[in-house]
Amino acid sequence: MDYTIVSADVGNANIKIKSAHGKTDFPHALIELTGSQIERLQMGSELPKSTYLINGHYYAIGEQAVRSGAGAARYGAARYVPEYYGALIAIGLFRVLPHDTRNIYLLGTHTVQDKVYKADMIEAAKQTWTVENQGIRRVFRIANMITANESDMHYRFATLADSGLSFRGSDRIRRGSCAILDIGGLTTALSVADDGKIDHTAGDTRMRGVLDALDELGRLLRSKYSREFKQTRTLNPLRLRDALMDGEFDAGGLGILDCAVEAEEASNIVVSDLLKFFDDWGGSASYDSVLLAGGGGALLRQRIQAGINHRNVFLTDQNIDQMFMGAAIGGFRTLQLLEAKGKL
Amino acid sequence: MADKPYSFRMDKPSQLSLRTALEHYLAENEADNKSQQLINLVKDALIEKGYFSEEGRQSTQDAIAELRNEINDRIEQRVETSRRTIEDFVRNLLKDTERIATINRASESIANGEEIGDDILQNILEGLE
Repeated sequence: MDYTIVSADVGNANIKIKSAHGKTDFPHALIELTGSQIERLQMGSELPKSTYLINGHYYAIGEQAVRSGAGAARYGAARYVPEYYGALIAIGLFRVLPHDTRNIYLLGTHTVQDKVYKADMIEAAKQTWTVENQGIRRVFRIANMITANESDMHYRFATLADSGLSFRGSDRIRRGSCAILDIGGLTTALSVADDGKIDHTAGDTRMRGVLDALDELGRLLRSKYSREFKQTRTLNPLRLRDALMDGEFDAGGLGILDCAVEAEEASNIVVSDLLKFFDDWGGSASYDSVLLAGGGGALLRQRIQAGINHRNVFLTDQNIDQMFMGAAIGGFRTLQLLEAKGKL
Repeated sequence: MADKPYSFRMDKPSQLSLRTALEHYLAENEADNKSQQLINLVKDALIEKGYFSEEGRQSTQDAIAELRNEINDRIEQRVETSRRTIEDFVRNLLKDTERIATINRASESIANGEEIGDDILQNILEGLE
């Protein structure tokens, strides 16, 4: 059967979706709008871009969702229901598939600890979705779905080439033992691969992610430059990302603000936990290579490299933005491989 | 000064892209002669330091620290004209170079054409639920 393959990484911080037509990411926050909220919105000429009509229900995503009420960001088992996980997947499909698509084969990723919810994930997503946004209506049917561990998909992203049919990257992460450290928005995961094969019995997750560091840096910056930021409601998250890496915050018209000490302090929250986590799993002496994955792996790479003191530390990609999307792209390449080998 | 005319493409970190970026900067930037002289010195220093040689990769932090001192010394010796422009340039250049040096060492992301074997395929299938 001919399928349209799509991969989805519904992370705790961002939702990342990849299809052959492109990729998208949007913040993890979704809420179903109440009747009065919809009426208020409909008084305007057009509904906001972040409002979607899904199977007859109105939803808001991102900042609009957060402003619309409590419970916009759900975690753990609470989110694996059609009106949350399913709706987020439906919005992702709308953004990466330009037409009605009936035969979708979806790969959804989860953290190690969420593996127990795989049946709930599938039940929440596998159905027909009618999505409307900005006057455009599309219908999607998820015909099949499989799930996979998020950090496994980061490893596939680092090792499978674009088509999924051949290897890419350094031999050194496919020979001997490799520790995969996946630092996401709110979680950090560790997986192990031996000679290119992931040990599916090993792996663990901790509730600490790069958003903790970015939040802390934001707080420290506001405290240090309270006068400069008096009129600033929110600090630009992309500039905060750069500041965490470089120790300088580009405050636009206010100039470049030094925050080297603050960036170090904020990063340490995550890095020190990560180092302890890594040590609990044997530390540098136990692995021939270490692969840093996820958005946090990209942002904190220099500090992690310095901390773990290992000769062979690799990144899943040389493009930092791609690293953020790593699990979704890795999932997509995995599906490409399975499709080519007749295993779908 | 234009917005990062010397920015390096993160997906192609190589000595060639460093040279190209520097040449691009020199061609695009209307720096005066003194600025150009200094930028030339920086360019030569970066390349002579062997940032992209094996030795350069293995002691990136030392090399960057050494280079930063050298550049600071040279800035001190120069006149104030375009000082801010040069400092911005050097600061961003070092920032990008540090990123590239790390990434260059950490990632060798080139498709190598070797086909996925059945053992790996089997391992992938075992990981899917």
